[in-house]
Amino acid sequence: MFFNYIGKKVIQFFVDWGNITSLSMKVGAKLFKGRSHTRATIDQMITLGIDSLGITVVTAVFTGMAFSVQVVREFIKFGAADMVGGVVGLAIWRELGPLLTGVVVCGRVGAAISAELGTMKVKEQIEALESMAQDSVDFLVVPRVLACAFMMPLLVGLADIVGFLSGLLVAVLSGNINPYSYFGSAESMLRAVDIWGGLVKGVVFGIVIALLSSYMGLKATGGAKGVGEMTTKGVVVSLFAVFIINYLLSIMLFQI
Amino acid sequence: MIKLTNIKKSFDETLILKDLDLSINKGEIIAIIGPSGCGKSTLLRLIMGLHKPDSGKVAIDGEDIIPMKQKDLNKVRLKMGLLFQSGALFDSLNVEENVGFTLKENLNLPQEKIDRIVNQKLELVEMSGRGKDMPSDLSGGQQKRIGLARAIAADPQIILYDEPTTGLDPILSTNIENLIVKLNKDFGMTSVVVTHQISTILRVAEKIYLLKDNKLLPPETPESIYDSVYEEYRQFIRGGLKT
Repeated sequence: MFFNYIGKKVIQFFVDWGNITSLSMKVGAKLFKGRSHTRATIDQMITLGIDSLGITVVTAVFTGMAFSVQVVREFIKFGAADMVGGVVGLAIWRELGPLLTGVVVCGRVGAAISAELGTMKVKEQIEALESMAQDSVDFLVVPRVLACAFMMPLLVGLADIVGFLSGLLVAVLSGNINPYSYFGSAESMLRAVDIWGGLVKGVVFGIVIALLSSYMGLKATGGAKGVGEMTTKGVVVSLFAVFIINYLLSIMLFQI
Repeated sequence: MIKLTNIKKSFDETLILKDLDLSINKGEIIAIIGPSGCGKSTLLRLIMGLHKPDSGKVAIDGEDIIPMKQKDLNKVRLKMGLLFQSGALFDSLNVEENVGFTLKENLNLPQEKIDRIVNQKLELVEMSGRGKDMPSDLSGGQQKRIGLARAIAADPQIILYDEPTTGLDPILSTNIENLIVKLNKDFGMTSVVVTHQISTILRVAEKIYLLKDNKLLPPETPESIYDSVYEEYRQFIRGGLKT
C-alpha cells in the first residue's frame, strides 16, 4: 500500500515534469510563431503586475527595516557601523528583494493564474476556445508568461529600492548611522552584477511562476474543489521552484 | 459530410464508445439520445476534434481529422459550431465580445460588420439589447442562448448542439427548437443534436439515434420511434429507459 502510493507519486512527478517541459516548449514556439500577444500581454501586465505593487512595497519596507535592525545592532557592537549600508544593499539586491518578491508573486499572481485558468477549464471555456479554432496555450498561457517576465524585474527593482531605503531609515533612526556612510558603503560593496543579477532572477521567477501556475490551472478537473486543489498545488510548486532556482542562480551569478 | 468509422474511445479504464459508426449527410439534422453518461457529449467532442478516439476515423467533408496537424484541424473547426451544455461563455468578455469572438479572432472582420452580425444573432436568440451584459449577469438559460448565438455567429456549415433546450422554459425551448430547424432549412446547416428532451427530438430531428452499450442503434424517425422494433427506443420515448 505504502510503496504503491509512493510509486504513483513518483510516476506522477515525472509525468508532470514531462508535461511542463512540453508546455514550456510550446510557449517558446508560440512566442515567435503564434498570434500577436501585445494587447493581451499589456492587459495581463495591468491585472497581474500593477495590482501586486502594494503588497510588494509593504513586504519590501518591512523586510528592509527588519534586516537593518539586526545588522545595525550587531555591526555597531563590532565597530563596523560604516559597513551597514553595503551589507543591507547586498542582502536586498542579491537575495531578499528577488526572493521575497517571488514569494509574493507566487501567492498573489500564481494563485490568480491557476484559479482563473482552472475555472475556465472546469466550465468548458477552454474547450469552447479550442472549438473556435484558437490555441489555448497561445491565447491564454503566452500572454501570462510574457506579462510575468516583464513585470517581475520591475517589481524586484522596486522592492530593492524600497527595501534599501527602509533599511536606511532604520539605520539612521535606531543606529545613528550617517546616511552618507550608508550610501558610501553600499557604493563600495555593491557591484553591477549584484543589481542586474537580482533583476535576472526576477525575469526567471516570473516565467517559472506563470508556467507552473498555468499548467496547474489547465490540469484542473471536477468543479470548485478541483480548482481549489490545483490553485494550492500551483502556489506550493511555484514556491518550491522559486527557492531552488534562487539558490542555483545565486551560485551562477554571484560566486564568479 | 460527417463520417465516423469504427470509433473506440475510453477514459482511463472506462470504455465509452466501441465499434461506433455514424454517417451524416450534408444538410441533415439528426438527434442522438441515450442514458446520462453514455458518451453522447463525447461523440460531439470527437466530431469537433476536441477528443481523439483510441482507434477509428473521424472524417469531415472526406478528410480524416485524427492525424491532422493543429493548424489544419483549426481550419476544419471553422466549418463547425458547438453549443456547449453550459453555454461555456468566456467570463472575462461581455455578451457582444463573446458572440463576436470568432468573427474578430478568426475572420478579422471590421468592428462595424462584427457589431451588425452580433446584433442579428442576438435578435435570433431573443437576446437583443443585452450585448453589454457580462455572463455573470445572465441566467443559465440566457447563457445558453448567448452560447447558441456565438456558435452560429460565423454561419458554420455544421452545428453541434449539446443539450440545447435543457433548463429552458417550454416557450423558449420551442423557440430554440424552431431556430434549430430554421438554421437547417434556411442556411442548410448540418445539425447534430444531443438531447434528453422528447419535444426537441420530435420537433427537430429527421433521424434519431440511440446510444446504448457504447454503440448507436439503427436510426428511427420521429414517426417510427413509437413503434420501433428496438425496445430501447420505445422505452426512452415513453420515459422508461433509465437516464
